[in-house]
Amino acid sequence: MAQWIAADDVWFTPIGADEPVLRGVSLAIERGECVAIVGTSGCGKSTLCQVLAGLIPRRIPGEFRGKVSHACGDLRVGMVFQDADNQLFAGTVAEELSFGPEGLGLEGEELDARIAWAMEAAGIGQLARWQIAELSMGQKQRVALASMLAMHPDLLILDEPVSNVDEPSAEAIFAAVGELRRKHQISVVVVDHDIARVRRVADRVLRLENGRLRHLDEGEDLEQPLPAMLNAAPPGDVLAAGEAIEFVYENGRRAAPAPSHVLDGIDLSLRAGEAVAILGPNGSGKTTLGKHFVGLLRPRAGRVTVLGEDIVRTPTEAVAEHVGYAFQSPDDQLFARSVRDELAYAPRNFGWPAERIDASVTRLLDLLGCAHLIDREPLTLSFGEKRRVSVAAALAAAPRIAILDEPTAALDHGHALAVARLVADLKARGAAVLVLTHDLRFASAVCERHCVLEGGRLHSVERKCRC
Amino acid sequence: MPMLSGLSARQTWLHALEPRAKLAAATAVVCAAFLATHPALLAGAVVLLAVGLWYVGGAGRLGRRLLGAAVLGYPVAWLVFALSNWDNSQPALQNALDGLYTSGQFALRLLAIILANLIIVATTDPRQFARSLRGWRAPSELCLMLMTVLRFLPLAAGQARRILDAQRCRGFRLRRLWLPSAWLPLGIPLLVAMLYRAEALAMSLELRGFARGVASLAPADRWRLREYAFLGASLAACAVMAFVR
Repeated sequence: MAQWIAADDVWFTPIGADEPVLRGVSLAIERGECVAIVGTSGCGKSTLCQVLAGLIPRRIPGEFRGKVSHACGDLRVGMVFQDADNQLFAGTVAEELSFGPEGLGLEGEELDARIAWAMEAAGIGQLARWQIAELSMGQKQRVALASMLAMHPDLLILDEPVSNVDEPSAEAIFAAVGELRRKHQISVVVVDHDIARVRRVADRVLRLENGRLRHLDEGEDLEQPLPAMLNAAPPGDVLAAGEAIEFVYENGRRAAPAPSHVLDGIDLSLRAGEAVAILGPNGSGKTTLGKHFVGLLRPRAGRVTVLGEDIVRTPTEAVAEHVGYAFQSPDDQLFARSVRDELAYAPRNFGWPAERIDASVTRLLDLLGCAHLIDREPLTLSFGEKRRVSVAAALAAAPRIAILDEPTAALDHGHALAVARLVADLKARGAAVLVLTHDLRFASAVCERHCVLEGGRLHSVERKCRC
Repeated sequence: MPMLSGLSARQTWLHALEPRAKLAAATAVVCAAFLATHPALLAGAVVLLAVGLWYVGGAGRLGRRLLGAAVLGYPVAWLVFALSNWDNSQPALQNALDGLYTSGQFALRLLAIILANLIIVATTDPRQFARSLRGWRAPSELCLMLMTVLRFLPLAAGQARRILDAQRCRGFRLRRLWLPSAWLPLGIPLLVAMLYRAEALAMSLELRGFARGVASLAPADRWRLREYAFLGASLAACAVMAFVR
């Protein structure tokens, strides 16, 4: 097979970093080959992707050494970024997808066929008219993938393409990638945490460790399931409850061809010492439901109570004293000069004394394995580190109810384990935990109750133990 | 059946119009609003434009807020106009009525201009707008830059909303915004997010061939009968509004 792209002895030190992220990486990818790269959060997988895509050193400054060569001069490289939201900018899905091919001079039926194929391959055929701003994170990830597929790339780089995508969709996306390789001889580089999953599509699996790549043999380094951290004792009092919650988005999603209730008569109670997992496909309304319990969204009908109080007329700022909400995107909340200040922000707002704040900050950072980051600037951390810091920051004021929105997205096994320990600690302290996730492995390890949200309805399901 | 590549969230005949026709009509509305003196014609134009905005689906939260601001702010505008033109030789009631008339005229002019522009914003996506500018032989790079800028405004608004939500969940209170330091939890994440987004977008555009000159914006659509008819009707209506005394 022809060698499509080759990186030879690549070293890269980003601006501001003390040590190189890549230390002599060499990698050759052949035409039609699929190479998977795994490694812990923050080990430099995204940096390597950017090198292969040619964005380093052309676009991202830093100290670069080594050589990246392409088989042909105009090799078309497509890349789906880890935070897919940032690479989308059109109004609707169809506009986003047509933007690239239109620029290549495609029009009319040819352009339509290209877009339809890309949407089908990414499993978003029904979203053509949807506003991008109204999509869930997982749906955005699939739109970003489709936008690159629509360019018919020679080399497709997928930087954690399914980190926010539900399990069936992730399988569908990987199946589509496999088909692309077979039919179009596209070379694929895929970064993911799930070694078992990438083995099903990749010809080779490489681990990036200490800035160097090493080959992973069959059966090597398969991740162990998370240990069960379930509460054997019966749950305590109801701390928060939703009764017959109904909700419809007023302005945005009505643009969809078939507007429907996002939440349609949801009953849910959260009890002390218990974690409840809300599972469901991307865009099913998990985040929408979570936001009702902190007052960010008000139900169209029904009632939400927190500690016995109806929160419809209570401002979010007041509800937040009892409810901690860790958002999906860590970049939406980090602003302080140090991780310590970041975690201290909420307790300070609620008038905690300094000693109590220090104790809470130290305990949370220890639990999440981030104690070494305490004096670092949050904005300079890796995505996985930011994710853990943002979770800790949301829970620093010791809320009675904790809502975690996709807490393990883009986290490797070790870091997911740290978040699981945090949930176990919350339960042991008598808090109620609501986990909005598509990570069944995590939900099985820490959540006593599983519910599936689909079609606006919530169904209790048997715990599917994979731990 | 609309083509996939032409799908917008909502489709009316105004969405389908070539943006230059809409721009020309909006410019005519702006000129006519300043020239018009007949209050009934001005009021009629405002009602027509408001119905138009509702028809194209742009009268959402922003439209309601705008209307609310206009209604709440009107007494102040009336007071300003009444006091600034106060004539001691006239009875007070006459001065008040004069102020009401003049402020009403200006309020209607402003509303007409804002509504016309909102209709353009609600019915034209940035990509379409940039392609249209190419029809005026603007350089492709300039069109692309303008399109990106236009797209960033709603994205920044959405991001600001998410950041505000996240900080409110950590006890941030809006009433503290008079303190400069209280802006940091909102301003820094927004600035950083916008920088990240700009960088990611630049990389995404580069990977789609735009930065290296491999790709360019598609040419503007040709004008058809509907564009000429729309512009003709708009110019005629504006002429009536401007010149009937």
